[in-house]
Amino acid sequence: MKYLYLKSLNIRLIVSSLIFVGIAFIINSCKKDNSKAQSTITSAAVSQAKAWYENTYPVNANGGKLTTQGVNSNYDYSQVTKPDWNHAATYTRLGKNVIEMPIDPSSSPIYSALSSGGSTGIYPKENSRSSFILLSDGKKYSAFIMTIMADPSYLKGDLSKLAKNTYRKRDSTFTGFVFYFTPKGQYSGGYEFKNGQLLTPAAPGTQSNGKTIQSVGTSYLKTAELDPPTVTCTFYWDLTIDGYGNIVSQVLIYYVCDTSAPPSGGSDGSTGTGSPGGAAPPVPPTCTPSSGGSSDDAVRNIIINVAQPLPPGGDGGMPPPTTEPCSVTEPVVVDTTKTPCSQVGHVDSVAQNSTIAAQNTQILAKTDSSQKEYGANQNLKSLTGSTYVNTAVGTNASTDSFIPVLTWDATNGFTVGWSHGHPGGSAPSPDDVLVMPDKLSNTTLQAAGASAIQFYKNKVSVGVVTSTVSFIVTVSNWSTIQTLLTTFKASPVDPTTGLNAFDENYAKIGGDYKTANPLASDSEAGAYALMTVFGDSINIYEAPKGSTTYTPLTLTTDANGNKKVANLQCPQL
Amino acid sequence: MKKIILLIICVIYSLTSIGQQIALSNTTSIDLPTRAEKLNKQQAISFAGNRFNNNKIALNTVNFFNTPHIYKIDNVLISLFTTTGSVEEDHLMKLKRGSDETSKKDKSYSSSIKVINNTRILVTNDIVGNVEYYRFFCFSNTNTSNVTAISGCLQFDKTDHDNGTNILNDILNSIKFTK
Repeated sequence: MKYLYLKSLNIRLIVSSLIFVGIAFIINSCKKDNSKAQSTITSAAVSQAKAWYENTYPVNANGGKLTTQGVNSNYDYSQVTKPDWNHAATYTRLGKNVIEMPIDPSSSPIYSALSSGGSTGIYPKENSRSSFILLSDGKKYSAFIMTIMADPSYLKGDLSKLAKNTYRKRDSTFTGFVFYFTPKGQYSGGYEFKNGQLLTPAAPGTQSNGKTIQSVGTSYLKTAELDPPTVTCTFYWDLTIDGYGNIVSQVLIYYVCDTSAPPSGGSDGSTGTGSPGGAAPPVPPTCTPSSGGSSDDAVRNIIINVAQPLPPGGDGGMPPPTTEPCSVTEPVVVDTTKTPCSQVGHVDSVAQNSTIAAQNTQILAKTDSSQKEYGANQNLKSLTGSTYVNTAVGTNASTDSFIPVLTWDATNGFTVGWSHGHPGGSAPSPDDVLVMPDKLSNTTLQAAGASAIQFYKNKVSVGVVTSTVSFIVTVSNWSTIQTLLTTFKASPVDPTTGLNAFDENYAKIGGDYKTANPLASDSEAGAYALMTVFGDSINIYEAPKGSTTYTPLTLTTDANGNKKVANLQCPQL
Repeated sequence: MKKIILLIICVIYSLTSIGQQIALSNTTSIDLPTRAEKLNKQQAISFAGNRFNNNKIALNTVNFFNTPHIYKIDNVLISLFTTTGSVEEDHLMKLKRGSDETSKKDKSYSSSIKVINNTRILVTNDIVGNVEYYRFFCFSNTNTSNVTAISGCLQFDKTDHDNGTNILNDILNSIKFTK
């Protein structure tokens, strides 16, 4: 066989170089294996528990992405967060085998915050730490998410102290709460500590120093009927916040009323965690059905928890969760006046009212020509008709934006909404939406009484008109949106941006949607962000430019598991 | 001997400078340097958690994105998207105007439209906490129907601003619509 002999040195060099480049190219093109070697779960007990957990709480088919989860339905933690099986602590306690694990850092963290309607940020979410607890009696397992919520007076700015409190051992000076939820989001009890001491639960209606202290563990409690003039109550909520900063559930821990008369709504069930100063000894566990619901807010589920028995001994750990919760699930009663489709008639009637339609036409024209936000208050002439005052369309010269005003009298009219223009075409912002709950504290409206407040709640809407599309937003869940208002007002301001965290989160969610969906309009991205942030506390409607016929919007999931904005098809009547 | 040494030097230099063309689709591509590392979503989340100090909003972004085109260049995280469909008239400018309006109170926000290789590209820049963002959007033509889009997001610690900017510019200069 003859070999090809390259006589020229230059040719040999070139050929050698090409061979060298080719080899280097092949090597360079090879993918690096960057994945870290997974730690091996060596404990047979942990492996067995893991198999049970993953079989019992499978992640759904779209890769663990939630399709819809509204606040105040049981938030399904199992779809977004998971235990860190590689860092499990196993031990025996209170007659059960325990596996205690942190939350897997690659999954969504879970936080808790203590909030009340009267004040905000009592315990910020940074004061909380969640972990997984699996209990087994050798025959069956039960899984819980345990959340420690620590009092600022205990932490004194040192968040590392949270790690001193585990299911096995709590810090001798711990002050705060511990809550348990199942991975499916069912509340399974809570306890309160002060200086390391467990506070005993109080019986319903316990009188203490002239205050009625009620401790409940309902996942939903309406406050409207508990605010009659004879009773003033302060409600304390545990807000669960996901890794995206969204409030995904709220549990009423307790409320304190300032008169000796019990609230008119009656007791909502058995005892849970006592408030400081709880006096009565614990009552035997009972399951009592809840009392009725609010006339205006949708009721999802009311779950009553058994009074927590005091843990035996006092081994210095956390009291256990209720492994067999006594739950009386009320039939789901949906307020049919607050669903997106049930409100579309009202939305259209407002938009098609001749006074409102003329205002919106003027708002759009002035907004487009000036590139400033023009707007108008929507005031009814009376509470018994549908005639609107022809309020002026204007703007605030110093801010170039519309400042909504509420009046509640026969001269100026009864404000049931606002409409303003967005020259840049963007969707309503959180600030636009939160005007609705914020105006509830208006002194004129408050002075008008409960029926006026209820009228306002039933009618109010905010509208945004742009050169391409118009939006109207209504409230479907007043309790949730008031909690969001609390969160908004408590949000810290980022010194780099000058925005509060709430608005920052909204803007980034919209930006992410646009990036992932570059063909979508900016207003679609804004609508997505609004629905993500507000959940089912609002209904949002859209109409094309020049139209007064609105369609409700919803979020759907495409075949790739991505959330998208879509029109909600309402049944034809 | 000198020729051999010179040739070896040239070969080594060219190897380090060679970029890799990344086909985002049948009709779109960008170039990335060879040191770019392709990540899956879990790797991206892990990197973002470590590099961005568990900045919640930054992690939200990484978790929201559902794309096979995630890369890390040095400490810059890059997520890329492409799709084809229809848009409103003047879509690019409307995206800019809407973004500008939403972010008008954000002191860190800026936007611009660059023209590179006859392609208009919207670029926005903002910061949240310690994390800086660049987002970019461009389209294959000015039609409203059958338009191909390329978009992306760069996230990096704000101390990496210069490198992040250089990487962005390299990407923008390499954008190709082949059809």
